[in-house]
Amino acid sequence: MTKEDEHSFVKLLEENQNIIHKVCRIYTNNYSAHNDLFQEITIQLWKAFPKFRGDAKFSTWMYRVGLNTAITLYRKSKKRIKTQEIDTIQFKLSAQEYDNTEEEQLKLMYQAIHQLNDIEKALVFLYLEDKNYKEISDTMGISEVNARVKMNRVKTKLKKILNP
Amino acid sequence: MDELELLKKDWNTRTDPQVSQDDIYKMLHKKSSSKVKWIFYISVIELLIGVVSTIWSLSHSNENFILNDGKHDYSWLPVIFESVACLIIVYYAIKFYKNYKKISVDDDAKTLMKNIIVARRTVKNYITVSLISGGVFVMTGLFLASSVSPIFLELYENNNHLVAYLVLIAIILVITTFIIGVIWLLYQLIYGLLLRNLNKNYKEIKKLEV
Repeated sequence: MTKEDEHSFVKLLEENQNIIHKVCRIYTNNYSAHNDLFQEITIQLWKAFPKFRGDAKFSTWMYRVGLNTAITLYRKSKKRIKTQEIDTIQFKLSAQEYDNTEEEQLKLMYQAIHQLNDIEKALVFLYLEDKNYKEISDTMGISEVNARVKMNRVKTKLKKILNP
Repeated sequence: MDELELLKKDWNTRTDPQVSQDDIYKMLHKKSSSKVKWIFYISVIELLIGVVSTIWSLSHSNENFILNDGKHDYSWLPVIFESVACLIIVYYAIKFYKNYKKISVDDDAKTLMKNIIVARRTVKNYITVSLISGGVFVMTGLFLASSVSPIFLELYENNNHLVAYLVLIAIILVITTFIIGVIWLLYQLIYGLLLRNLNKNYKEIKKLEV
């Protein structure tokens, strides 16, 4: 690819980087893992960039590549998993100490999301990004009806985790 | 759901530390640690091991097919096995290449997972077919070589001929199946470890379609 392609890619990525950060927010829960996943998604986007024809929005294309990288391509190292476990333990302790504030509720929500499996996390991510069922169906490769049914199940599951 | 609405509000207002253009440029030249890359390398190594072991076993077993009784020469058999082994390698190498090329990170999640599993399964099928054909080859060689050995000839003379042959076949079958079985189980373990998470996610997404 030419220098021009590289420049336009970097510019597009910089403008839309929040999408990658949000994917990392759902799939990782510490700074180092967040950065690792961010880098891997960036590399995958760059490798796939020649196939991006511009018939879809760059951001829409980013959702696909970002989620696919997080769900399927990203290799979690053992060292990283250990760090995550430690973070979760510390997080649990601090969450118990908090009063019933919005911040505590949010922390518990993120903690609950991290307990979901990779597919459920993707659905929560797309829900939080306000994607409609057609877009969810296109990104995940499932029917709209199933996307709707599964989304309701995930919401119920989250509710159960939060209010056992 | 109140909590989810609260989260949605936070989701869109929270900002992460922004990455600069310079850092993005640097990232583009870093090496990927993608599972697909590893799956590709491991698959190619497996195919190469298959090729090397086939060539080695064929070049080292010709003597088994020329019997020391001076009457029988089955040296044409390895040529047939060799041709079949070559056809198997070429067929699976092309199939693997085609399936691997189908893997695209901008497909939908389910298609991507399916294509990776299919490409990987091609190599698994190659290993299965190679082990079976290799097993048949080894068993044939062992059978021919043993059939003129003094131990077998003694068994043959002192017993019913059919029983002698059945005993020989049974021993060869048990030994070869055991060795190939152990190799197969070890391979299954490596195969399972490599695709464990991917298979889990694929099952999860397929469950949604039921």
